[in-house]
Amino acid sequence: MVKFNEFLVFQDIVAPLIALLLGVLLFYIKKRKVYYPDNLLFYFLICQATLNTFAPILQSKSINNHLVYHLNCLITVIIFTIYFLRSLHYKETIFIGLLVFLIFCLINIIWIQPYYTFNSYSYSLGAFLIVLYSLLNFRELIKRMPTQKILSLKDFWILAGLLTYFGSCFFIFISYNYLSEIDAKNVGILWKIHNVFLSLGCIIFLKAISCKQWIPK
Amino acid sequence: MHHFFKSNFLQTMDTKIILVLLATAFVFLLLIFLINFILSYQKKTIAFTKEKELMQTQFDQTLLQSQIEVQEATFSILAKELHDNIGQLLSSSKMLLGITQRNFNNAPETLTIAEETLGKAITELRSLSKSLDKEWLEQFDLIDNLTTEIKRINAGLVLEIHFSHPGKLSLTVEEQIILFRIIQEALQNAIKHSEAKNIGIEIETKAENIIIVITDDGKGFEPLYNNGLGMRNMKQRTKLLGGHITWNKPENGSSITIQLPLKENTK
Repeated sequence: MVKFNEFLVFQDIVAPLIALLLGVLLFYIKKRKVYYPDNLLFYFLICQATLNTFAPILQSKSINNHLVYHLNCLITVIIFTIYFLRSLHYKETIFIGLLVFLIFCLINIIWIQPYYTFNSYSYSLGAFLIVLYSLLNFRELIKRMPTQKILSLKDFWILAGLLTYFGSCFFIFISYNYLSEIDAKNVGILWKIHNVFLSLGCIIFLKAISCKQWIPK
Repeated sequence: MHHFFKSNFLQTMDTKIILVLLATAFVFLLLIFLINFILSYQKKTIAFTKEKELMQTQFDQTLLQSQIEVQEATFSILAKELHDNIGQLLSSSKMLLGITQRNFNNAPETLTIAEETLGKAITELRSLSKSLDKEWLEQFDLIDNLTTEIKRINAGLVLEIHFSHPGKLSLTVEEQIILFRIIQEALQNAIKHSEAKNIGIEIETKAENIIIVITDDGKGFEPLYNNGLGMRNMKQRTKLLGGHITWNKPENGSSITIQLPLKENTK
């Protein structure tokens, strides 16, 4: 049980790392062409693996690691906003969404949830925007390709991964800061559940990377 | 793992954490349901689209079949009129010319030529009438009928048609009639527009297909810019037979290739 607990703690490093390595291996062995969604997924996985490795290292040295999570949130939302800018027609809406997010992150870090606390509000706003864009994109996907086998599309799996991770973890993100103050002892279970969803998301992203087909602009 | 489900563990947790866990589980299940719904919706859309396409194809085929039947009926009426009315008028005229000729000791040459020309006209008319008459056509074989048609055209001495073919074709009577009409249309176009001296018709069976190639040594034409009613009819009739037709422009003249799938002979 202890070992399983430990495994859950480091899952946020292991899962993206394995997905990244398998993804790179897939392209190397099958000599497939790399499309822009694959690049974005690789950046996301590198970002997760790197920052999630940094966080426990800082913690082990008794250094506050919450700034890493602020950075993680920012980079993740920017990566997926770029993806939606290329895929969706609502470019102005997405630009405004990104602008609002960036301004809010600044306000949040300065006045609401400083860099030494977990940025629940930024994470939940980012998750909300990504879930919203994913649902819009699903609608576009079905409208544009009504007779296409949707399970063979890269974009379907990307959207499924985004919904699984960001959608499922929304309540964890929004409540984490508050709950870590009122029940610090047990709040860790939430982050372990978050890691499970992150792993699930990485598996789905790996499936997306393995798909040959995607919707061109 | 069973420790996780021990009541002590849950009791130590704040209620709010448990609520967040429940909310997370609920959202996760909702998203799974949503994705499944999207997949099922798409599956239904694909099935609906395929059914719609099938219905459209069936409708187009039925419409085309009806158009062809109407055309054939029109041809039949025309054949009857040609034979009964015009044929009779020409035969009467020939008879009168014959009587007039016999009244002269030395009939003028023009009278003789006139009688011969009328005789040719009557023969041509009978031949044309037969080729339009579906009832007569129903008893025929494509090769035989086409050979007769070619002989009729060759007799005009304007151009020469060369015909090569296999012994028998594995097509139903209806299919042979439709194919005959396509070839007839192609021949008429070549005669009217191409200024050709020679036309070649080659029918052969290859693997699972019947291939018909009609070539001429005329002035040729640009298939892209000539998409008249005749060509559209030929395309539609070929499509009805489940085949496809292409027009090519070789160095000299033009060429048409018709490819039809070979089926079991149900004649």
